[in-house]
Amino acid sequence: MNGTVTREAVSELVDVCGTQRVVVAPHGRLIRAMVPAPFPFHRWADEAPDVVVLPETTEEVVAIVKLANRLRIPIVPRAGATGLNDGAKPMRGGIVVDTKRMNRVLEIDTTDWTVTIQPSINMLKLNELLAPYGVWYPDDPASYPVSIISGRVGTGGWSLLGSRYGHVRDNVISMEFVLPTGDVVEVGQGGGRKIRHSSTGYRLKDLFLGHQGTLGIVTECTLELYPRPEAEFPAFFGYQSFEDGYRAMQPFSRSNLATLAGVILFDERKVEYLRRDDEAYIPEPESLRSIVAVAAYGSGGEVAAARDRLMRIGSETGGRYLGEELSELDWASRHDRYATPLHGRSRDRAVHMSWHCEDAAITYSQLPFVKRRWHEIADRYIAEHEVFDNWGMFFYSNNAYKGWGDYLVEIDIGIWEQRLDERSWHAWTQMKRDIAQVSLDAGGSISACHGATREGEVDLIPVELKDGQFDLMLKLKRLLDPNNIMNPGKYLLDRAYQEAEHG
Amino acid sequence: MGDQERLPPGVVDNDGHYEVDPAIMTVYPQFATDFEVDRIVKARLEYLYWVQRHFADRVLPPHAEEPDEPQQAG
Repeated sequence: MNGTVTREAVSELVDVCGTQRVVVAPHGRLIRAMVPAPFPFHRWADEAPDVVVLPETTEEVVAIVKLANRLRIPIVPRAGATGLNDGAKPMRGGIVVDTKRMNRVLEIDTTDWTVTIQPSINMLKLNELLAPYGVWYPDDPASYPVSIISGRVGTGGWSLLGSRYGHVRDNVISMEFVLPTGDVVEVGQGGGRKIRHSSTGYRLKDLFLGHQGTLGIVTECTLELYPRPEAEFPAFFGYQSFEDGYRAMQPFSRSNLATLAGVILFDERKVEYLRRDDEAYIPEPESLRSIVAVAAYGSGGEVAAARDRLMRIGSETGGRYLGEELSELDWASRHDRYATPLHGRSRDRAVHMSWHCEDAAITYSQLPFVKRRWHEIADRYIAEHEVFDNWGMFFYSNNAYKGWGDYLVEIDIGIWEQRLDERSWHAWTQMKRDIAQVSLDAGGSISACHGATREGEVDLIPVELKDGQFDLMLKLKRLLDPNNIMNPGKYLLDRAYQEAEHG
Repeated sequence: MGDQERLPPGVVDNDGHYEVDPAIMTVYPQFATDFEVDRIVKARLEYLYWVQRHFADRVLPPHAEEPDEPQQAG
């Protein structure tokens, strides 16, 4: 415990939420310091909160935030805690607001096609509730079965189906937000919470997408609905080299198919990993060095037409169709990468490893450069530290509603978490920093979807957000959170207060 | 009896954290009975087929399906 929360403050929290929803027991606090991203066990207790509260209403959140602001207690919102960049993890103790009990569906509007929710509902569960109405909410991260919509707001999440349906920023129409002072605001495209486009005033909604818990707590969301797909067509094509697969991406991406949901390139190291540690338990043919996966969703007629064109492009680019079983089931496993097998190689041994994934947004022209440099960096660290393993790279279409342009690039690193000591933890954060620097050298962004709040790449935020962008972030943070209570220490935003103190 | 002695075979205490003894993970693939392999693979495939049904009403095959009976002109 960091000791920032007094007995009197806990008593006030009990007055707000009741004893059952205020947790001070060590297990309940320590478990809220845990995230999927590997972290040294010996440091775990350092990042546990002093107290956990589980509000159920906006009014309770307001009361908690006002208390924290009055007493200058750090406060960290936590949803599914499936993020890979520690947004839901306190750096200075204080109060963790675990929002999982705020999971009610408030309105399903089948006339204006919106759903309004308390935001801590999971997408899989929401879509099960929406299915009888013939509609769905198509946000589809690799954590689809386990992540929660308020966390998706916090990270400004990316969707596997984004080239067809857009990403979180496109499908959250409006939000109710509790600011660090306890004031409640409604942010959206303009006025009414169901309006999709407006030219009135600033579009404040975007400020609160990707805030990583530094600007407040989302308490209500109105989301876009789409017709539930009648049909889906996934297809995997194998290529003899990475270069062949890389070249084939362009005709797929520019196929002019409105139903095209995504184009994904697997590099040779990823194919090798899947061959030895298959996420779908389907053998990959030995001759393959790269794979291009595509998928279309929509009405039956549209998807059938898309299917014919995609199969033709696959053939014309020299791709080998890998069959229905592999295409359907490996695509299905893309929706749930948190079921990855979690074992890797250290020297000649197979050992239990935790999965970590570094990401970036990179334009098509720069993908080969980034691939080469990232593998060089990973291999250099693996040679020096036996706790790392290289699980290969993916390249996903990143542009909303279109398949071309820039790509979400990921490298999966296996980490033998039990063996992470200070030396190897330092090496890991340095590896992350090196990887992020390559992304900037390529004219890209450090993160397309995970956020960049973790030790290592966070140092490069002011480098990426140059020419006054980061300075503006600091001013906005200080304006909205005058006492720096909301997730302090993240995104280097403490500088807002240090610079103010120094005049 | 010490804590280390109470651990089941193949498990080690690594500074207070229990893990499979790396010494027994030098063989790949690890031995598993046919029953275990069958159960793991079946469970995973069942889950993945469920995922497909969750996202769309049906999955199209790679080529247009032939109609059951030839269509009669006129």
